[in-house]
Amino acid sequence: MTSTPFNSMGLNADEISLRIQEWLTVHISELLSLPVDQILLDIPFDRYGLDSAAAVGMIGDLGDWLGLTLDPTLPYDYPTAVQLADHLAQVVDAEGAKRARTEKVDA
Amino acid sequence: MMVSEEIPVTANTSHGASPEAIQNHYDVGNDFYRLWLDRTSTYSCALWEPGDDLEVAQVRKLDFHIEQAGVTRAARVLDVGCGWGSLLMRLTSEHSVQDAVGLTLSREQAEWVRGLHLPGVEVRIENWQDHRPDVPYDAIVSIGAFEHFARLGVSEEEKIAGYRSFFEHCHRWLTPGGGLSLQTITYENFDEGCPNAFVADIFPESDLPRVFHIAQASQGLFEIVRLRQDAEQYERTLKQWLFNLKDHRDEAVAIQGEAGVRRYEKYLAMFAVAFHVRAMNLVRIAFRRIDQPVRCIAPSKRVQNA
Repeated sequence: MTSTPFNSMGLNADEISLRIQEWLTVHISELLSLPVDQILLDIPFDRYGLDSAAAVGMIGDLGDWLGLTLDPTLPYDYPTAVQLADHLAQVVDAEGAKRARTEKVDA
Repeated sequence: MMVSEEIPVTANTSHGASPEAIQNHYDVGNDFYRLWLDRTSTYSCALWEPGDDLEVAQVRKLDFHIEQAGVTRAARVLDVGCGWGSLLMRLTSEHSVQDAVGLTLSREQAEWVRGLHLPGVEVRIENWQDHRPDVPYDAIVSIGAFEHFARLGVSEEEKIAGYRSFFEHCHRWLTPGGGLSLQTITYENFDEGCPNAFVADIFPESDLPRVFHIAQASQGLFEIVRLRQDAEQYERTLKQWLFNLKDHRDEAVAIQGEAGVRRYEKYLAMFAVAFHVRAMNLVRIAFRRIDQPVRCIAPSKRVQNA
């Protein structure tokens, strides 16, 4: 699917969340062969009929794109695209801040 | 030593997954499993306490079952489904067991355990239905094998009959008052009418029990002493395996290929989800042998006899 890895450089948490929401929209629309404007981001994933295999596949691909190993049960704890994206944006933001600190120390 | 009064075995037919089906899952290369299991190569739900790493949690689980089965001062212990031998090793090295016998249907596991040359340990490639010990056991442990004791697609009655046959065998193998500690995955909030094709592909021919199947199958032969359910513990174990596999992904791909590794990643993640949403649960049960079972008379016959 999305081949270019995600780069959070220069983005704040809200912007990161929006990028992740875009990724989820494209992923779900391709999965269900639906136009992207029919994908609503604030309804639970299971309302789209995403079963556990699809949810696990989605989180695996999303982790590959973000360059993170993601917990496979995240879509169950954050059951809408907005909730999941907001949560992951915090994680990505914290990772980025940590990396920036480390690089500063290394420099 | 005499094996005490024999309980007739209900059926002579074969229950559970075939050796080929077992080998399909477990004989995909010991080196592959080494990459994501802990150093003891324990391939079942751990018993976690705060601050544990996977190895500590696995050893805690082994000791938990050893204690539950009443292995203290036991001379002879049977391990049904011995995997790569972590329990057999623990029994003989830390719990002074003289004879530890392990059964497995996996050739690779058996060869692995034999290669460890553990004193007092015997491993047999044998179905539990064919096991005929010359001397009874003081305790039995079975961790993560019961999942393979019922064949996918059999009726509930056949399933329970198969499980009962296992408990009958255990009863015959044990000395009076002997303990049995069992750990297995169970169905919880799950519809057996809609089996998961992917799970069936990962574990061919195997079907899971429900807790009441186990209770019904053991009734009259074994007393249930303790029972605990640990779904969240298996969720954590599976996630740890998944993260370990991802950490060693390049080595895993070299052994299994990209598609093979993806298949295992999907399986571990899907099982983690299954425990998270309680489609599956994990039960650990301590049983004590009922030494003189009353002769079971069906209620209808009881009325006729009266």
